Amino acid sequence: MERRGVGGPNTHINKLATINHSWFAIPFSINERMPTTVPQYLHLDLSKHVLRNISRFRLRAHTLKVEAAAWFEDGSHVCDQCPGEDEHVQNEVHALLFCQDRRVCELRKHFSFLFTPFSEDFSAAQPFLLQQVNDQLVLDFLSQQNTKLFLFLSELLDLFAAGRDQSAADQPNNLAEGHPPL
Amino acid sequence: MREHALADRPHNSLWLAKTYLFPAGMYGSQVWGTVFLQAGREFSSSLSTLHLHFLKGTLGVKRSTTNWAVLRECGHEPVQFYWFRSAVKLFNSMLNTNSVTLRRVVQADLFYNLSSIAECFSRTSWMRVICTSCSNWTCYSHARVYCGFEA
Repeated sequence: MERRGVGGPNTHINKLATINHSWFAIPFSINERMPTTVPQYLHLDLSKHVLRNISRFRLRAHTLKVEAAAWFEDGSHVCDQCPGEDEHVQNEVHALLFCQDRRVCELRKHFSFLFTPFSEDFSAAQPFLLQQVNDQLVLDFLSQQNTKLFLFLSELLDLFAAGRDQSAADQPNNLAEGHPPL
Repeated sequence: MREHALADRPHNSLWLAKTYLFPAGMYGSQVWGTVFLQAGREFSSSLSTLHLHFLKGTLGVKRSTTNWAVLRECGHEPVQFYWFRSAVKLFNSMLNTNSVTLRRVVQADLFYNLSSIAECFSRTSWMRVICTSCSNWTCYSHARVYCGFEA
Protein backbone atom coordinates (compact mmCIF):
# COMPACT_ATOMS: atom_id res chain seq x y z
CA MET A 1 0.00 0.00 0.00
CA GLU A 2 1.26 3.45 -0.80
CA ARG A 3 0.19 6.75 0.57
CA ARG A 4 -1.64 8.91 -1.87
CA GLY A 5 -0.56 12.52 -2.20
CA VAL A 6 0.57 15.02 -4.78
CA GLY A 7 3.28 16.69 -2.75
CA GLY A 8 5.13 13.55 -1.70
CA PRO A 9 5.39 11.90 1.69
CA ASN A 10 7.02 14.85 3.45
CA THR A 11 4.15 17.14 2.48
CA HIS A 12 1.66 14.67 3.88
CA ILE A 13 3.63 14.31 7.12
CA ASN A 14 4.00 18.07 7.54
CA LYS A 15 0.27 18.50 6.93
CA LEU A 16 -0.49 15.97 9.67
CA ALA A 17 1.91 17.74 12.02
CA THR A 18 0.24 21.09 11.27
CA ILE A 19 -3.21 19.67 11.97
CA ASN A 20 -1.95 18.21 15.21
CA HIS A 21 -0.51 21.57 16.25
CA SER A 22 -3.66 23.48 15.29
CA TRP A 23 -6.20 21.35 17.09
CA PHE A 24 -4.49 19.25 19.72
CA ALA A 25 -1.05 20.53 20.74
CA ILE A 26 -0.60 21.89 24.25
CA PRO A 27 0.87 25.42 24.17
CA PHE A 28 4.50 25.67 25.20
CA SER A 29 5.29 26.54 28.78
CA ILE A 30 7.30 29.61 29.74
CA ASN A 31 9.51 27.32 31.82
CA GLU A 32 12.66 27.08 29.71
CA ARG A 33 13.84 23.90 31.37
CA MET A 34 10.56 22.13 30.61
CA PRO A 35 8.92 23.88 27.63
CA THR A 36 6.59 21.06 26.69
CA THR A 37 3.71 19.83 28.79
CA VAL A 38 2.28 16.35 28.64
CA PRO A 39 -1.48 16.35 27.93
CA GLN A 40 -3.80 15.88 30.87
CA TYR A 41 -5.10 12.48 29.83
CA LEU A 42 -1.66 10.90 30.25
CA HIS A 43 -1.77 11.78 33.96
CA LEU A 44 -5.20 10.28 34.61
CA ASP A 45 -6.09 6.82 35.75
CA LEU A 46 -7.90 5.78 32.59
CA SER A 47 -8.21 2.34 31.10
CA LYS A 48 -5.73 1.32 28.43
CA HIS A 49 -8.47 1.22 25.85
CA VAL A 50 -9.54 4.80 26.58
CA LEU A 51 -5.94 6.02 26.66
CA ARG A 52 -5.20 4.39 23.33
CA ASN A 53 -8.35 5.77 21.76
CA ILE A 54 -7.50 9.31 22.85
CA SER A 55 -3.93 9.01 21.58
CA ARG A 56 -5.17 7.68 18.26
CA PHE A 57 -7.70 10.48 17.96
CA ARG A 58 -5.21 13.23 18.79
CA LEU A 59 -2.43 11.86 16.57
CA ARG A 60 -4.63 10.98 13.62
CA ALA A 61 -3.89 7.29 13.96
CA HIS A 62 -7.57 6.39 13.74
CA THR A 63 -9.80 4.98 11.04
CA LEU A 64 -11.86 8.05 10.22
CA LYS A 65 -12.29 8.52 6.49
CA VAL A 66 -9.82 11.39 6.24
CA GLU A 67 -7.00 9.11 7.40
CA ALA A 68 -8.21 5.83 5.93
CA ALA A 69 -8.56 7.44 2.48
CA ALA A 70 -4.87 8.31 2.45
CA TRP A 71 -4.01 4.61 2.33
CA PHE A 72 -6.18 3.67 -0.63
CA GLU A 73 -6.19 4.85 -4.22
CA ASP A 74 -9.97 4.95 -4.42
CA GLY A 75 -10.46 6.17 -0.86
CA SER A 76 -13.12 8.75 -0.17
CA HIS A 77 -13.00 11.43 2.52
CA VAL A 78 -16.78 11.77 2.60
CA CYS A 79 -18.54 10.82 5.82
CA ASP A 80 -20.58 7.66 5.36
CA GLN A 81 -22.40 8.07 8.67
CA CYS A 82 -24.20 11.34 7.95
CA PRO A 83 -27.74 10.99 6.59
CA GLY A 84 -28.71 13.15 3.63
CA GLU A 85 -27.13 14.20 0.37
CA ASP A 86 -24.55 16.64 1.71
CA GLU A 87 -20.97 15.49 1.49
CA HIS A 88 -18.78 16.31 4.47
CA VAL A 89 -15.16 15.39 5.00
CA GLN A 90 -15.04 12.95 7.88
CA ASN A 91 -12.23 14.34 10.01
CA GLU A 92 -11.81 14.82 13.74
CA VAL A 93 -13.76 18.08 13.92
CA HIS A 94 -16.59 16.62 11.87
CA ALA A 95 -16.83 13.67 14.22
CA LEU A 96 -16.70 15.96 17.23
CA LEU A 97 -19.16 18.65 16.25
CA PHE A 98 -20.85 18.20 12.89
CA CYS A 99 -21.72 14.57 12.20
CA GLN A 100 -25.48 14.04 12.18
CA ASP A 101 -25.46 10.30 12.67
CA ARG A 102 -28.13 9.23 15.15
CA ARG A 103 -25.74 7.35 17.48
CA VAL A 104 -23.23 10.20 17.49
CA CYS A 105 -26.00 12.69 18.28
CA GLU A 106 -27.16 10.49 21.16
CA LEU A 107 -23.62 10.45 22.49
CA ARG A 108 -23.36 14.23 22.25
CA LYS A 109 -26.64 14.61 24.10
CA HIS A 110 -25.30 12.34 26.84
CA PHE A 111 -22.23 14.55 27.15
CA SER A 112 -24.03 17.82 26.41
CA PHE A 113 -22.36 19.58 29.36
CA LEU A 114 -19.11 19.46 27.40
CA PHE A 115 -20.57 21.40 24.47
CA THR A 116 -22.83 24.05 25.96
CA PRO A 117 -20.02 26.32 27.25
CA PHE A 118 -18.55 26.52 23.76
CA SER A 119 -21.52 26.87 21.45
CA GLU A 120 -24.92 28.45 21.87
CA ASP A 121 -26.17 26.63 18.77
CA PHE A 122 -25.88 23.30 20.48
CA SER A 123 -29.12 21.95 21.96
CA ALA A 124 -30.87 18.67 22.72
CA ALA A 125 -33.03 19.09 19.64
CA GLN A 126 -30.03 19.76 17.43
CA PRO A 127 -26.95 18.12 18.93
CA PHE A 128 -24.65 19.13 16.10
CA LEU A 129 -23.32 22.32 14.56
CA LEU A 130 -24.07 23.63 11.08
CA GLN A 131 -21.65 26.56 10.91
CA GLN A 132 -17.94 26.11 10.47
CA VAL A 133 -15.80 26.76 13.53
CA ASN A 134 -12.27 28.07 13.83
CA ASP A 135 -9.27 26.10 15.03
CA GLN A 136 -9.12 28.00 18.31
CA LEU A 137 -12.59 26.80 19.33
CA VAL A 138 -11.59 23.21 18.62
CA LEU A 139 -8.40 23.66 20.63
CA ASP A 140 -10.34 25.22 23.51
CA PHE A 141 -12.91 22.45 23.44
CA LEU A 142 -10.28 19.74 23.54
CA SER A 143 -8.30 21.57 26.23
CA GLN A 144 -11.15 21.88 28.71
CA GLN A 145 -10.37 20.54 32.17
CA ASN A 146 -13.07 17.91 32.32
CA THR A 147 -12.17 14.25 32.63
CA LYS A 148 -15.48 13.26 31.01
CA LEU A 149 -14.15 14.69 27.77
CA PHE A 150 -11.81 11.73 27.42
CA LEU A 151 -14.59 9.22 27.91
CA PHE A 152 -16.57 11.05 25.25
CA LEU A 153 -13.66 10.97 22.81
CA SER A 154 -13.08 7.29 23.40
CA GLU A 155 -16.72 6.37 22.89
CA LEU A 156 -16.88 8.59 19.83
CA LEU A 157 -13.95 6.80 18.25
CA ASP A 158 -15.48 3.44 19.12
CA LEU A 159 -18.65 4.48 17.31
CA PHE A 160 -16.79 5.41 14.15
CA ALA A 161 -14.56 2.35 14.34
CA ALA A 162 -17.46 -0.07 14.74
CA GLY A 163 -17.74 -2.40 11.78
CA ARG A 164 -14.53 -1.22 10.14
CA ASP A 165 -11.31 -3.02 9.43
CA GLN A 166 -9.00 -2.22 12.35
CA SER A 167 -5.99 -4.08 11.03
CA ALA A 168 -4.18 -0.88 10.05
CA ALA A 169 -4.72 0.72 13.46
CA ASP A 170 -3.85 -2.46 15.33
CA GLN A 171 -0.61 -3.17 13.55
CA PRO A 172 2.22 -4.02 15.94
CA ASN A 173 4.58 -1.27 17.01
CA ASN A 174 7.69 -3.42 17.21
CA LEU A 175 8.36 -2.70 13.56
CA ALA A 176 8.33 1.06 13.95
CA GLU A 177 10.36 2.79 11.25
CA GLY A 178 11.66 -0.52 9.94
CA HIS A 179 13.28 -1.60 13.17
CA PRO A 180 13.64 -5.39 13.53
CA PRO A 181 11.37 -7.15 16.05
CA LEU A 182 12.65 -7.03 19.62
CA MET B 1 7.82 -0.54 37.19
CA ARG B 2 5.66 -3.66 37.56
CA GLU B 3 5.67 -3.67 41.34
CA HIS B 4 4.21 -0.18 41.54
CA ALA B 5 2.12 -0.53 38.36
CA LEU B 6 3.96 2.41 36.83
CA ALA B 7 3.50 1.02 33.36
CA ASP B 8 -0.22 1.79 33.62
CA ARG B 9 0.57 5.48 33.92
CA PRO B 10 2.06 6.70 30.64
CA HIS B 11 3.25 9.92 32.24
CA ASN B 12 5.52 7.95 34.59
CA SER B 13 6.94 5.84 31.79
CA LEU B 14 7.68 8.92 29.72
CA TRP B 15 9.32 10.70 32.62
CA LEU B 16 11.44 7.68 33.57
CA ALA B 17 12.52 7.26 29.96
CA LYS B 18 13.60 10.87 29.81
CA THR B 19 15.51 10.54 33.05
CA TYR B 20 17.27 7.20 32.54
CA LEU B 21 17.26 6.28 28.86
CA PHE B 22 18.45 9.55 27.39
CA PRO B 23 21.68 9.71 29.45
CA ALA B 24 22.41 6.09 28.50
CA GLY B 25 21.81 6.87 24.84
CA MET B 26 24.16 9.82 24.98
CA TYR B 27 27.24 7.96 26.15
CA GLY B 28 30.09 9.07 23.89
CA SER B 29 27.63 10.69 21.49
CA GLN B 30 29.96 13.67 21.07
CA VAL B 31 32.10 11.34 18.98
CA TRP B 32 29.82 8.86 17.24
CA GLY B 33 26.65 10.95 17.19
CA THR B 34 27.86 13.68 14.87
CA VAL B 35 26.89 11.76 11.73
CA PHE B 36 23.26 12.15 12.77
CA LEU B 37 23.38 15.88 13.45
CA GLN B 38 22.62 17.08 9.96
CA ALA B 39 19.18 18.23 8.85
CA GLY B 40 16.98 15.41 7.66
CA ARG B 41 18.75 12.78 9.75
CA GLU B 42 16.66 13.24 12.89
CA PHE B 43 15.23 9.75 12.69
CA SER B 44 18.08 7.98 10.90
CA SER B 45 19.78 6.37 13.88
CA SER B 46 18.65 3.11 15.39
CA LEU B 47 18.50 4.75 18.83
CA SER B 48 16.06 7.29 17.49
CA THR B 49 13.99 4.45 16.05
CA LEU B 50 13.98 2.73 19.43
CA HIS B 51 12.97 5.98 21.09
CA LEU B 52 10.00 6.46 18.76
CA HIS B 53 9.12 2.80 19.05
CA PHE B 54 8.91 3.22 22.80
CA LEU B 55 6.80 6.38 22.54
CA LYS B 56 4.38 4.88 20.02
CA GLY B 57 4.12 1.73 22.08
CA THR B 58 3.38 3.77 25.20
CA LEU B 59 0.66 5.72 23.44
CA GLY B 60 -0.63 2.63 21.63
CA VAL B 61 -0.65 4.17 18.19
CA LYS B 62 0.38 2.58 14.93
CA ARG B 63 3.92 2.82 13.63
CA SER B 64 3.03 5.14 10.75
CA THR B 65 1.94 7.93 13.09
CA THR B 66 3.77 11.19 12.45
CA ASN B 67 7.00 11.20 14.42
CA TRP B 68 7.03 14.92 15.22
CA ALA B 69 3.46 14.82 16.53
CA VAL B 70 4.29 11.81 18.72
CA LEU B 71 7.31 13.60 20.16
CA ARG B 72 5.28 16.70 20.93
CA GLU B 73 2.46 14.66 22.47
CA CYS B 74 4.90 12.95 24.81
CA GLY B 75 6.83 16.12 25.64
CA HIS B 76 10.05 14.60 24.33
CA GLU B 77 12.68 16.15 22.12
CA PRO B 78 14.34 14.12 19.36
CA VAL B 79 17.51 12.34 20.50
CA GLN B 80 19.40 14.35 17.92
CA PHE B 81 18.75 17.47 19.97
CA TYR B 82 20.65 16.05 22.96
CA TRP B 83 23.49 14.80 20.79
CA PHE B 84 23.79 18.18 19.13
CA ARG B 85 23.83 19.96 22.47
CA SER B 86 26.50 17.69 23.94
CA ALA B 87 28.66 18.00 20.80
CA VAL B 88 28.44 21.80 20.91
CA LYS B 89 29.26 21.76 24.62
CA LEU B 90 32.40 19.73 23.87
CA PHE B 91 33.30 22.10 21.04
CA ASN B 92 32.86 25.13 23.30
CA SER B 93 34.88 23.59 26.08
CA MET B 94 37.70 22.89 23.63
CA LEU B 95 37.63 26.51 22.49
CA ASN B 96 37.79 27.75 26.07
CA THR B 97 40.35 25.28 27.30
CA ASN B 98 43.38 26.49 29.24
CA SER B 99 45.62 24.00 27.49
CA VAL B 100 47.68 25.83 24.91
CA THR B 101 48.38 22.64 22.99
CA LEU B 102 44.72 21.65 22.70
CA ARG B 103 43.77 25.19 21.69
CA ARG B 104 46.34 25.12 18.89
CA VAL B 105 45.11 21.74 17.72
CA VAL B 106 41.53 23.01 17.61
CA GLN B 107 42.56 26.13 15.74
CA ALA B 108 44.54 24.10 13.23
CA ASP B 109 41.67 21.65 12.77
CA LEU B 110 39.21 24.51 12.31
CA PHE B 111 41.46 26.23 9.79
CA TYR B 112 42.00 23.01 7.91
CA ASN B 113 38.31 22.13 7.76
CA LEU B 114 37.22 25.58 6.70
CA SER B 115 39.80 25.81 3.95
CA SER B 116 39.34 24.49 0.46
CA ILE B 117 41.82 21.64 1.01
CA ALA B 118 39.29 19.91 3.26
CA GLU B 119 36.75 19.77 0.43
CA CYS B 120 38.85 17.04 -1.13
CA PHE B 121 39.88 15.00 1.89
CA SER B 122 37.74 15.25 4.99
CA ARG B 123 34.07 15.69 4.29
CA THR B 124 33.15 13.61 7.34
CA SER B 125 35.64 14.82 9.94
CA TRP B 126 34.27 15.64 13.38
CA MET B 127 35.06 19.34 13.19
CA ARG B 128 33.61 19.68 9.73
CA VAL B 129 30.33 18.00 10.68
CA ILE B 130 29.98 20.27 13.70
CA CYS B 131 30.70 23.38 11.64
CA THR B 132 28.28 22.31 8.90
CA SER B 133 25.55 21.51 11.37
CA CYS B 134 25.90 24.87 13.07
CA SER B 135 26.11 26.84 9.85
CA ASN B 136 23.01 25.11 8.47
CA TRP B 137 20.99 26.27 11.45
CA THR B 138 20.08 22.66 12.05
CA CYS B 139 18.68 23.18 15.49
CA TYR B 140 16.73 26.23 14.35
CA SER B 141 14.99 24.46 11.49
CA HIS B 142 14.25 21.46 13.71
CA ALA B 143 12.77 23.71 16.33
CA ARG B 144 10.46 25.22 13.73
CA VAL B 145 9.13 21.80 12.75
CA TYR B 146 8.84 20.76 16.37
CA CYS B 147 6.91 23.89 17.26
CA GLY B 148 4.56 23.53 14.31
CA PHE B 149 5.67 26.59 12.35
CA GLU B 150 6.67 24.57 9.30
CA ALA B 151 3.69 23.63 7.12
